[in-house]
Formats: sequence, structure tokens, C-alpha cells
Amino acid sequence: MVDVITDASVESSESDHTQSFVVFRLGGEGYALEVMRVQEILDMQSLTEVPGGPRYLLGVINLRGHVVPVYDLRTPFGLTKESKQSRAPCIMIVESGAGHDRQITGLLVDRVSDVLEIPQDEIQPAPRLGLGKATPYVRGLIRHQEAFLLVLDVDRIFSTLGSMSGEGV
Amino acid sequence: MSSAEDRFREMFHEEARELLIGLEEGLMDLERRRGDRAHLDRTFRAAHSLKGAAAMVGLGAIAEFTHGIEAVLDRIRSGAMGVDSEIISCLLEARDHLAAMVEAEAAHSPIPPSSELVARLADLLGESGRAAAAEPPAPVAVVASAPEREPVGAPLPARKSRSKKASTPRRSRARQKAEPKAGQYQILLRPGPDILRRGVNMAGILDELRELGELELVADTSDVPGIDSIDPERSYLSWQITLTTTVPLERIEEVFLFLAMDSEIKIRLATETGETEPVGTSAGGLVQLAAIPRQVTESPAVARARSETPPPTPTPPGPSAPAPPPTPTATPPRPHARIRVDAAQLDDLVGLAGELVVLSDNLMGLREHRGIDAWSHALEALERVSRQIRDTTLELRMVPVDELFSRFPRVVRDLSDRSGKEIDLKIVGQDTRLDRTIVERLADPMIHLIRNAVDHALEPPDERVARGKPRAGRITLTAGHEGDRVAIRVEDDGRGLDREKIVRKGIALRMVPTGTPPDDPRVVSLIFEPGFSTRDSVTELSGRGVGLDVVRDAVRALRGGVSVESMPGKGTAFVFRLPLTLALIDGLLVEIAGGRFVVPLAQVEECVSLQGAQSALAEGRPCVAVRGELVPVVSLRTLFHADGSAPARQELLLTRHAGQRVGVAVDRLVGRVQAVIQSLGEGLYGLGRFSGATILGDGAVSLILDLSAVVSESRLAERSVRSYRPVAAQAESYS
Repeated sequence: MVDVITDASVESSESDHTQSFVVFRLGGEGYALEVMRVQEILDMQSLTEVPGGPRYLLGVINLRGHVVPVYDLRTPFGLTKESKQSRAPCIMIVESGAGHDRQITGLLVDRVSDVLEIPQDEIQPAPRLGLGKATPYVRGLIRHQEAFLLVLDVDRIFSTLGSMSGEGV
Repeated sequence: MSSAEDRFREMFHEEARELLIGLEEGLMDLERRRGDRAHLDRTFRAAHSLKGAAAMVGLGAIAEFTHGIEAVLDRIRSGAMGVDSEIISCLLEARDHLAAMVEAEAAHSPIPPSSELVARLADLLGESGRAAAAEPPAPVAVVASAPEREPVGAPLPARKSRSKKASTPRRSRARQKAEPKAGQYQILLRPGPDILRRGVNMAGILDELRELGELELVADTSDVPGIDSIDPERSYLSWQITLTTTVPLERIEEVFLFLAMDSEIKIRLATETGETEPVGTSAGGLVQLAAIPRQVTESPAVARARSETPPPTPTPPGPSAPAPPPTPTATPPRPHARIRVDAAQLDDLVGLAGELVVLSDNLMGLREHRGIDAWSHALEALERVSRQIRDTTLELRMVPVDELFSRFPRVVRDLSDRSGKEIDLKIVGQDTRLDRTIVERLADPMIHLIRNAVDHALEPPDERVARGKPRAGRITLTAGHEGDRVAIRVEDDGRGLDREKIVRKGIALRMVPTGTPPDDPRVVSLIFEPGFSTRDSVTELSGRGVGLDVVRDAVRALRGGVSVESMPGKGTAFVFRLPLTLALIDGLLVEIAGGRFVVPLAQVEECVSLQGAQSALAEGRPCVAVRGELVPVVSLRTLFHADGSAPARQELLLTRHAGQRVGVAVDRLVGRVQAVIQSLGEGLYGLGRFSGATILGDGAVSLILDLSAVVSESRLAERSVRSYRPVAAQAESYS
């Protein structure tokens, strides 16, 4: 626990000015996620399906001996699958939670495009409405190249999805 | 607090937990065979060591409280006090409170000693003989003037660490007096005769004084008797001490904290002019030192009066910080985060790890080498060592069930007390070893069953006698191996299950068809269904609306099963059958619609081929005949909504669900595997049909199926389908 607190304080002192984000695309939208949350990016690999699992759960993979679930956020975000997928999607391995609740989860993404340094004051608060089903999971907006990147709140995503899975969403 | 100090505290908590268990067992034993001195010695030592250990890490409140228990035990040991169950009850309650204090301390929210129990312990001492109570000399130099006296149970100085950095002065008055310049103190120290027995380290105390300043020591040996009459456990020495120091008086007092209760300590400040003025009377700290022994030696009347005063507040951490509210329930620490490991096993593991290093060096060398033989030797060796490491590591997780069983004598005693039934507890096979997680999680289910036995099964003594049974009811706990599983039995010699009553209730709740005879095998398993309880009234001991389904679920979560055997009038036995370990399972790798799944072998009684098996419908369910017996079949293909049609030849895994044989159809048997279980992520917990996942030899992930959950799930699905079109569906399926 102590470690986590220390980490957070270091992070916040550094992030007074800028913060690094991984930028990725999913279902035609641009998203951003704090770089500290992203453990690695994997090529698409064979998944073990979970019969009866929620629809957003693509399956589980073997990540160096650990069983890790892979989610497809297009379902809960209400996005359609891009018809012309130029290249194979990849799996972004994301850390959520902290301490005992720390979880490793894979997210299917169409493409990881960039890592950006964003000044703190350029991150706008998220609107309460207007982003469709993804609205509750967006923490903020970053204006980048004439478009908005949606900054995701992964803790919220996983805690919400986790509580929905029992009902077979 | 420094990490070293933290570590010492942690070690103390562990030691304390063990000593508390010893203390409890000892007290239970004391009640059983009164007056067994040899055994009492051990119990006394447990209390004694605990006190010493608490004092060592600066937990004065715990040490003080323990001293009260120890004092009573000492009185019993010396024969000055008889033993009755009231005394034992008081001691047990005090032990429980002590355990609560230790746990609260471990959770960093200390709770104060119970003033009520302190008073009761003091009462016991007082009653056992006033003469004895007057024996220890009252502390001198301290005539407590009433207005200055602090309430009892107020911050005991002992709670503060004796280390220098923790010695924040609290009493400004003493400080003003003592601090301005170096003062010379004349100290007379005459320790009580029992301090050695109490575990006080005099040399340590004198060393601590020496750290405070310049010390001159003169030992007075005049009280030491001749060599033939000397008692090695008795202290005969006293000291005349001159200490020149700048530290405040209260620092000096702190050094004598653990002597204060029965020793004579006089501290005088020798001023620069050579005059000596007594400071003891005006210093709050010394007043308090006087208050401590009073807790144990005061008259019963005073003690009783005190027990009515509100409980004291916990010690504030510093002079100005407000006392945090006592929160004994706040975040209990994870129990037994540490495992005691057999040194030989650890040696094995170290040896194996070494072998592994050699082996990998070997394999590196083989990179140049093309010969198949050399490779296969090295790989075989690698496999052997890896397996041994895995097995040894697993073995480290195993603990004897005694860790669990040893708490039940106390549970049974309390239950016996409250129910008025006499109970004789027998424990067999407590050396049987099990995964420590299993041992920890079995406690609640077993307590549940024991409560049930006392409350429902065992008859009152008179009724037992009338039925020709011994007056005391018997509960037997047995642990032992059964194949590759461990069986734990909770058995009573009481009434036995009332099958008639169970059937009536089962029919009323529509759990079994009307007309089910009481001897139907399904009847007994009804008691494990949710919402089933034949007892209508709620008693104090059990039946708080929690049924046996909780017990069953808890055991299932450990990948075990529970069954029940019962004879009317003779008794009931509940049997848990559990895997030796939770980390590994022997499994059957099966294929369903192209996917591979692991089924725990323990859930499979038999595999039969479905090819050519006669299928039929019974009660609207598909069934097949297995050696003449009609067995309902659950199709995993259907449950998984798999596309395509099943292969011509399918296999049937026979399992037992609610006392009945059920077949689960799979496409193909692939083989046997030994699987290391990984829990599925939190997001998948809703899927009861999978109990975890494992990684197969080829690196693919395979999910582990829980057959009993699969069968329940398909039953539920069936029921919901039937309830939509109850009559028509059945008629159709029969036509």
C-alpha cells in the first residue's frame, strides 16, 4: 500500500506540467490512456473463448504463464466493427486498480498510433453527455490534430464491466 | 515507527497468537483435570512468556493485562486457590480480551484492557486470601495525593515505546523541574522477590539507565542467603544508584516501568547544593506507577466499584493528539500471512533450486551439441527437478488440521455452557495435513455443524439417560485420508435426522415430488438446499436463518463435497471430502465443440461411451441407460450454445449431484492432466460453471469446468423453460 501511495505522489508531482498518453484507435474513434497504465502491446494471438461469458469478453490469453482476460470495448461503447480493417488488431495489456485489487487486463484495439506528452491544462473535463455509451468511462478530452481524443477511466470500465458480467451482458 | 520496530511487533503478534492458543488449551485442560501441576506449569508459562514478549516490544497495556491472568494462574499453581468453572470462565474471557487486544494492536488501532475483567481478576486474587494479597510490598516514595491521581486505565506509560525517540515528555510539570540542567538523582532500587520469575531482565534495566547518563552503582548483597538456602528464581539484590543526567525525571521512571508493580523504587533529585529533595510525590508519573499494582492488589470492593466506571480510552499517541476512537472491528489483519516451514523441506527446496541452476548450465552447454541422447537426458532431469520443486513447494503449504481442531474444545465448552447439555468432545487424526487455505476456511463450516449438533441433534442429559445413552453427548471430529482426498467427519451420537419431517418439508417446498418415501436417497441431501431448515424456532446457538447450504457452498468452494450419514436415535455424521491442496488438480482434458476444457477428476465417477446407449426421456429430461440405470444427461454443447452437430460418438462423464447420478456429455476425452489452477479475473466470477483456468503443456489456456455447477445451471435452465409452458412441453416430449 505504501508503495502505491508513493507512486501516486511521484506521478502527480511530475504531472504538474505534462502527462504521457498512449493514443489508440478503436471502432473509428481516437482514445488516450495514461502511459503508466499500459504494460505492453501484443500482436493478436489465439484466444481461448469463454462459453457463456459476457459478449465484451473475447476470451482469455496466456500472458507469460498468467491467464489474462481480453475485452472488446466496442460492445459496451456501442461502436461498430470497422468493415475494412486494414491490419490485424492488437491487444493492449492494461493495469487497473491498485494494491490488492490490481488487475491485468487485455483490451482489443484497432491500432496504437502514438505516445503523446500532453500539458495538464490541455486536458478538458469530459462532458456529462454526448459521447454515447462511452460517456461514463471518459475522464477527459484532449484536442489533438483537429479531433478529440477520449481519455479513458480504466478503473471505472473494469469495475463496471466486472459487476455486469454476472448478468450475462 | 521504524521498520525494525515494525518487524519486532510483527514477530510479537505471531508469537502472541501462538501463546494465546497455548493459554486457551491450557485453561481448557485445567478445567478437565483440575490440579495437574505439571500441566498448569505450561499454561502459566504461556501467560508469563506473553507478558514478557509484550513488555519487550513496549506494549505495556498488554503486559499489564496479562499479568492479571498470570497472577491468578500463579495462585492456582501454588495451591492457594481452587479451580472452578467460574474461575476458568473468567480466565478464558480475559484470554479472549487479550487476544482482541493483540489483534487490535496488530491492526494499529489498539484497544484498552477491559476494566471489568481487570476487576474480576483482581477479585479472584482478593478472594483467595487477603493475607496473600498484602504480601508484595507496596511501592514506596509515592503517596498519591488525590487530586493528582489520574483515572485508572488512563494512558499507561508502558504503552509508549521505551526507545529514546519515542520518549516525548508528556507531563510538563515533571519536565520543568528536571530539564533545565544536568541533575543528580539518587535512586534506591529494591526489586520485588518475584521479578526474575516475571521475566524482568535486571541487567537490561541497568544498561538502560546507563544510557541516560553517568551512572554509579552500588549493589546491596546483604539480603542474599547462604548457598544452601538460596532460591535461584528469587531476587535478593538491591541497588543504590547515582545517576547524573539531563533527561527528565519521567524518562527515568519509564526505565522502571516493569518493576513498578512489586518493587521498591525511590528516586531523589540531589540538587547542586548537595541537598536532596524527594520528587516522587509530586511527579504524576510516579503516581501512576503506584496505580498499576493497585489493579491487582486492591480490595474486591474497590475493584467492583471500578468495574462500574466507563471503560478507559486508548492511549493517545502524543501529548496533543486526540485519542482515536477504539475500533476493534476495523480491518482485521490477514491471519497467518506467514507460514512456519519445516527446515528440512526448505533445505530440499534449496537443494533442488541449486540442481536446477546446474541443469540450465548443462543445457546451455548443449547448444553446440547435436546428439539427441544428451538432450533427452538433460530434459528428463529438468522435468524431474521441476516436478520435485513444485511438489516440495506445495508441501510447504500443508499444515496439520490440528491448527483447526485445536480451537473446538473451547467452542464446545462455550456451547455446553449455554445449552446446558453435557458434551464430550473427541478428536481423532489431528496430524492429518491439508492445504492451509482449506484449513483456514473450514473453521466456519465446522463450527456451524458443531453448533447444529449441540443445538438440534444432542438430547438434553435427562432425555439421553431415559434412552439408555450416556448422560454426556458425544461429538467426534475425525480427520483422515481417503484415497487422494482428506475426509473430515463431524459426528454426534444424538437423535439422528428426522427423515419424515424432512420429506414433509421437502414436499411442501416442492423440492421433491409428492409421495416421495422417507428412505429415498434424495431426502437427506435436501437439508443442504437453500431455504431448507426443519427447525422453525430460532435458538441462541444456531438457526439464525443460515442453513446447511452455506456449509455446502463453503466446502464446494474448496473443491470438496459434503455428505451426511444418519441413523435415527443413533446419531448423525457429516463428512467433508476435500482435496489435499488447492493449487493443483488432477483433471481430465475433454473437448467440446472444438474447445478444450479441464474437468476435475474428483468430480468424475466414471466415463462411458454414449455410442449406442439407449436414450429416453424421464420427467421430461433426456436420459440414457447406463448398465440398466436411467441417468439424466446434461449436454455441454447445448449449455455452451455450440454451433454444429455433435459427433456420432460422444462420451459421458458420470458425476454425482444432490445424491443422484448425472451424466455430462462431452465430444471427446483427450487425456489426463495435472493442472495448476489460476483463478479467473474478477470480471469472470459471475460464471460459476468455470472454477478457474490453467495453462496446458502447449501454452494454450484451458478453462476448468465445475461439473456440479454445470448440472445446477442446466437444472435451473430446465426449470425456467418448464415454468413457461408447463403442461404442453411435457406432453409434447412424451409423444
